[in-house]
Amino acid sequence: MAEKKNKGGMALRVRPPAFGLPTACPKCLPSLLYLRLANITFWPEYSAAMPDSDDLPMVELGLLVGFASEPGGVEEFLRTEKLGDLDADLAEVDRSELKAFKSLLVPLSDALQLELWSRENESIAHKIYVSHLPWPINRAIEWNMRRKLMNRLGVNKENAKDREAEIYKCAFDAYEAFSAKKQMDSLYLVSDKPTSLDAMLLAHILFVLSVPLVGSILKDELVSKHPLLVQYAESMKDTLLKSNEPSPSDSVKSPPTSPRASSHASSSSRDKDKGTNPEPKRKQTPKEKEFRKRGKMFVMAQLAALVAYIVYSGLPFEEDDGDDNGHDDD
Amino acid sequence: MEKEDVNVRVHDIQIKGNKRTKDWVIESVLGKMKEATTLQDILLEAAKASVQMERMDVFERWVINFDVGPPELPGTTNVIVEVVEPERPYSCNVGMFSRPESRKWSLEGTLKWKNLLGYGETWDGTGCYGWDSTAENSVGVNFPRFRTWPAGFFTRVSLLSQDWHKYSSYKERLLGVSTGLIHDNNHELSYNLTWRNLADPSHRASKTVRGQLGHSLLSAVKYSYRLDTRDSSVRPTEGFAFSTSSQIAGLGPDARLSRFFRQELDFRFAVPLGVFNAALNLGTSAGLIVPWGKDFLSKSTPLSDRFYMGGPSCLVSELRGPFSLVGFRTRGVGPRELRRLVKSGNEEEVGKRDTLGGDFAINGFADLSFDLPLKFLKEHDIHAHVFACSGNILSLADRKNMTAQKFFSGFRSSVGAGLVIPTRMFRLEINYCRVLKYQENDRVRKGFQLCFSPP
Repeated sequence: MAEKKNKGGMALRVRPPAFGLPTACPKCLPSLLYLRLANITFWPEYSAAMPDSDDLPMVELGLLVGFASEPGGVEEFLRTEKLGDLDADLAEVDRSELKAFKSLLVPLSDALQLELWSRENESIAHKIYVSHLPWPINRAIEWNMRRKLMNRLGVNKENAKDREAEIYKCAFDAYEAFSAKKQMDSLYLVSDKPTSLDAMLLAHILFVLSVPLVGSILKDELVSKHPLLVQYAESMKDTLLKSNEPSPSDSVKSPPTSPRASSHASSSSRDKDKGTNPEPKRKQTPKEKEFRKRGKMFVMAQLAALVAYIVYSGLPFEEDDGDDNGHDDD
Repeated sequence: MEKEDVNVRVHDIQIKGNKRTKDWVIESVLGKMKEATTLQDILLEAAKASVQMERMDVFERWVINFDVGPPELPGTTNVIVEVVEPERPYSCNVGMFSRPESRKWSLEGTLKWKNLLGYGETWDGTGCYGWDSTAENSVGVNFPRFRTWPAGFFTRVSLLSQDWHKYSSYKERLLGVSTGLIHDNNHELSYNLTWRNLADPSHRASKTVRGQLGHSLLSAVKYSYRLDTRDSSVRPTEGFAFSTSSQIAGLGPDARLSRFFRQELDFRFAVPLGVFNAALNLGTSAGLIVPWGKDFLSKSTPLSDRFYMGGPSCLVSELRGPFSLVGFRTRGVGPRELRRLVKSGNEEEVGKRDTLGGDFAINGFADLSFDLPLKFLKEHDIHAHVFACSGNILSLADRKNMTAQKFFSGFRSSVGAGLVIPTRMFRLEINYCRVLKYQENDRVRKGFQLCFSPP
């Protein structure tokens, strides 16, 4: 399942990697695992300038592109273009069962998003989605994404506890169902071959286990009450994630003018390798963090001084208004 | 007084009639009048002050009078400035306009409020809505004088959305703050902080454009210098004009800001020919944008800041970079890339390309204008012209394989003739163009064209 940087091959555009995962975005990870389970050759391209876009993940093969936001997403695109279909050989009965179990992934996704975007895990969500964008737009986008999610989940200050309990209950019920299903079948969930359901569930479990979410109720529930699911994910982890670490020449496509975000038409083939050769994200040293913090404070202080100067510059002259206004020295 | 200096100095300056405007604002306009020692100097400073008062545009009328100074101080005068502030300091304009690029018509409305705080400032809010769903809303304030500094200080907050979907498959939303410290006839220095978001709701974009979609932050300082000695910007017959604009983006400690350096140059030259009021106008423009920072050679420049060539334009009057190339459609020249293939989509969309813009652009033109032998046309300054223009636009990615022969063979060229109708509001040209040379994938527009340009 090694990726090949093939000029004529397939590219999967996802959000950047982190926490040992090939992509730290819980929405992009299922598509990446789907391609690996289907043994489809591809290489990852990382896009960090679209944290709030529904189009990611997207699959690109020449002029053909499949977006997550289109009906059926990446999976449907692969099926339609006859590039790969994990569910192709399923019997009708198994196909129906697959659809039923896929509906259980919705409460799992909701619970995961609720944990990820909680205040305690602000830094985790920041790192996954907006860390490659400059301040202050990263903060503004992060705030907006959190607000939209809470609106979608129906969580507000008045009903937070009740609504969270409701969401977690649905997620725990889903875990129960998947645990029971896993006991019945051997290697995979529905049949003796991996299906799209395996890709989605494995992505969820691997995310919960790998990302250090503070106070993760989902992780506690999984580890304590559903060891079969944990074992299932751990057994597949090495196979799915082994070749997923980005090569040293990979880099993140954040805003333009960062490492080679695009190529021009006249030299597109020559620049494709450069465009998909990102550098690994280097951890900031404490000195660099301190420098950034001081830099932001410096800019804020300058702006505040400028505003204060403009606002208060007229005050000394207001005292002169009474003396000069309409009086003659005569 | 004409033959020799008359020694007079200013004893006192009195301001009357200002209910809202601060005294020091009017006093600062008077400049060095208090330091003047002769009547001639005082009158010169008064004339300069009149010009400044007109520029401020916050008074209905004003008059500067001189009165005899106190008897105990002979050779002195009191300066009395009487101003009348308008009863309604606000104004509103709504109109339908055609943009210089002439893509579509737009509805524009402007609300102005003058002297709200008494500093001689002008507040304005502008809303513009185009039929192609382009929208621009901005609020700004302009201080014509910043304390004792003669230069204006302005700041503007704007929310702008532009639809380039037809040409490059993306829509752009910009939320920005621009602040200028120097703004006079020749110099302009401004700082711009803009949050940009490029999106492609139609999912048609080419690979390069897809790679540039998303959010970015522009923090840039721009300096412009402009010198125009031509006798007219609508129909220049003599003189020259020069303009340079330098922009450096990425100012700030954050390495994630958009980082590039952008330079534009314009030069125009008009020579009178003496017969039929004819004049030969020559001009050239060039522009370059390069990224900076670590590994800058492997970086790409933002789509929004690249150079785009093509579209209806008036070669002679406009000084805004290497944008003009008559005979080609808007954004019709330069590197282009195939869009996404949608099998179930409209067949007309197959094979269409996105314009990617260029990092280096250069163009030049020659325009010969002359009067037509009709009295009516001469009276209204309606005249004819013939022109030729040429230009090229390249990407930095092409630099490695570029040779002089390739560079010169890549030039596009066109010729044409037409009628020019100069008005107070704009210059209208009705031209017939013929493209002599173009490159593969250029979008050519032959035949008759209309063009508007502001004076």
